[in-house]
Amino acid sequence: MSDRFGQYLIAGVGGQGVVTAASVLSRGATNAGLKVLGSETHGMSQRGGSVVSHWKVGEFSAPLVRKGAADCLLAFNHVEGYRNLDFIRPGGRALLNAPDRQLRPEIEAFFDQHAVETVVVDGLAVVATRRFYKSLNQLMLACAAELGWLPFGTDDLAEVVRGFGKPQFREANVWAFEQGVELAREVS
Amino acid sequence: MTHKRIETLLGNLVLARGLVEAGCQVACSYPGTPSSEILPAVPRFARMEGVNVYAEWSVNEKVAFDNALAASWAGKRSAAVMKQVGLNVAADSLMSAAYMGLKGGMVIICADDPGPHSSQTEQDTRWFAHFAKVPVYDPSDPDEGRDMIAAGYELSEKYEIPVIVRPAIRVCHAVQSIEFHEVTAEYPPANFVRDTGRWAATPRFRRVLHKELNAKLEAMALELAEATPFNRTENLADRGPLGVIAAGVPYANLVEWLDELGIREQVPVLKLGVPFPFPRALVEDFAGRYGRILVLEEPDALIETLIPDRTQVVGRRTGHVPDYGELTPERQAEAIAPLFVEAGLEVQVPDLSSAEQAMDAVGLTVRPPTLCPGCGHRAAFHAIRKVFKGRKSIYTSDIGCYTLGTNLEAVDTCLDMGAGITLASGFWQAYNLDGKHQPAVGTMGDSTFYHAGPAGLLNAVYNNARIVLVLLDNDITAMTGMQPTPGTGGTASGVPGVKIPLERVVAGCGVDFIEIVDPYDHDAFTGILREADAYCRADDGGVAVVIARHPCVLHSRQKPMWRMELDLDLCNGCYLCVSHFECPAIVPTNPDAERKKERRVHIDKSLCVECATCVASCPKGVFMAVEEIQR
Repeated sequence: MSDRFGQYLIAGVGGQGVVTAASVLSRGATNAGLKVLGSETHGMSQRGGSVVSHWKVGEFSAPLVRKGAADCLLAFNHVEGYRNLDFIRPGGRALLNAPDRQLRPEIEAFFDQHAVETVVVDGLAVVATRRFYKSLNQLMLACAAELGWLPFGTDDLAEVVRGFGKPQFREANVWAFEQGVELAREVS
Repeated sequence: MTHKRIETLLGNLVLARGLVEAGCQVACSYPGTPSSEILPAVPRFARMEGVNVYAEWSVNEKVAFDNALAASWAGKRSAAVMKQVGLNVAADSLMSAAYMGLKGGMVIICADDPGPHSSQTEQDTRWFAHFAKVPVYDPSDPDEGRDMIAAGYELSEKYEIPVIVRPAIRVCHAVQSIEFHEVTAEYPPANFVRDTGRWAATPRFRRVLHKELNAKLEAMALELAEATPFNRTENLADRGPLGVIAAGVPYANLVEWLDELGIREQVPVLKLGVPFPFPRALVEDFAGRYGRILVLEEPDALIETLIPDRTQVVGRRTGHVPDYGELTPERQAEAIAPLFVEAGLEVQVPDLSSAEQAMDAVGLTVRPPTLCPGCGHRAAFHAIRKVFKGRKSIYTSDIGCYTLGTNLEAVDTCLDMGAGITLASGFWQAYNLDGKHQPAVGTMGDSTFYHAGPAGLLNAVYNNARIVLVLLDNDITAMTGMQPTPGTGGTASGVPGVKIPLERVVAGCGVDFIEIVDPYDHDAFTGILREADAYCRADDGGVAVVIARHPCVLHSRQKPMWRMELDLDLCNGCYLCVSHFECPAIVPTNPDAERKKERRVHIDKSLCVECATCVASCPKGVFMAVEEIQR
């Protein structure tokens, strides 16, 4: 439907900033005058477990994305991407962070078979160069934005990131965001 | 010109906003997922709006309930906020308050956890409302929850009865764009009017109050049987093969699915936002029109059970809808699709099998939650197991981050808040009956102890139990998101409270053996545990309490303490550090090595907090703290 702009699934491990990433996206959407409905993971799972945020933009009623209905999967950890593979709709998109940009062949075969547009980056290697591990989430968001996969542009999101969170993480976040934009340009 | 203020907020913040917009002046809560974020947002929104509210983190849910109720008896609008199992703790007060009623409106926000994601049970608070004879609202999304809070206060004051708003976890943890409403409430001054026949009713008066309560329920049921924004029909037809009665999040899942399939206009739906008092006439009129009635609700079958004639009804009781676990959109769609096909509607459920096959081929293992790197609880559990000889002792624990001690084989039981002490004394007494001293080691966090510890500890001391209790004091309520405790002295409003350290409460319970030690100091801590064990066994001994005090690594933002090095020449591949210490920062390098001796580990620098507690975990001395980091 035309008033539904997209259903996203953001997956990662506790501590990777999945919930924060969804908050950044929400602020971007709100600035763009778009309605958001989604769902976060809180509580026990946050302690190193699998963390997922469901994030929908447009006219929706239910906070959760239905399996097989996600337009886009953003996986901050490739294994957590695999774990949520069944959410992606045929013809959807997937952006994954994986060591050396390597995915398991079974997963690649699935993406091919269902015409899922896939981009794999090794974002961790990038943030590790400056030990900005906690900013991997910003790198991934920037990458998705620059690929044109979000319902708003890179500049809109960059503006949010520049004013988001505690000042001591600002520099790392902005730097990681810029790296994400670069990565997207390299792959596209 | 005024702008509409649109914000995208966590569901719990929308509910908090609802309390402030409706003129709630006193809000009391004990944290618990999925309700924890509601209470602290109340004073935030109140400050934003320049209104005067009192919000407190109470020590438990019963205390929260009573404090809020008193405000309501004094004529102010109040709220008690908790998770579903918290209402078990507050049940005594709720049952009685339903009879006695109130003056200022009182809303109990009680969050359910279908799944369960972060709870001991999937209990349905709507049944509790039915049991206690109070109305209950079941929102489908945060914004509706906010409207229900406003309506709940009106109903509460009109009938002088507490009302429950029951958001499920998907409402609490939803994020939703909402428009802020203005706060136009009036705030009556506190004024308690004596009426001993009511506020201190003896059984003779209770009989009358019960009769009055039943009359209120009758009147409310009639009022709610008229169509309201919360109880409403969609696409009502004179007849048809299928009608759906839907409530809460399953309603939201249903309409989105029908919208997507393009058949929403073809499906008659009765949305029941206020299922109790049961709007019987409304339901019977709807149910009488269709060949089959499907009921979608969660987590239990309240509406389905309350329908007098169920011959045409299918739902959780009949096995057409799963009778446990969360109704996720795909689980719900899969269950109900055949019923729609039978009714002649075009629905398809996506085939997920190829995704599932790929996932199976990859061999995904569950990533269990673990204690954080550097967590003092890990160091404490590791030492406890060492001193109390592994499986020779019984380890009773409790609700909090430290329940994850199960991974370290240092937690055998977790019943509910407080049972870390009461099960330990119970086990000890059962074995003592047979003439055996069974070592029983209870573990409990600081916040949980303030919540439910003192009564059990007092009881253990009084009845001569010989147990060791280790209070894992990280100086915060960590699991639910860092709420203050009486030990920290912080309060919900930010005004400093009176600090009451654990040791003072423990001493007040009659305990003579109280030692405070940092579990990071392995030698000192194991030494104290041995002393505690000896005290327990001594003729003139008793209950021993060890306070393992180390601040939460996350909350205190602990700085690196030691530069670490690994001497892998000493490593014999035993992997005790992986299996019995389980720090996420210690990573197997080659777990599938042909010979066990060849296995090695490395440290994930992105996770390690350089605390050096792993040094004690290795019998060979592989982990070395080589230099203290100066600052």
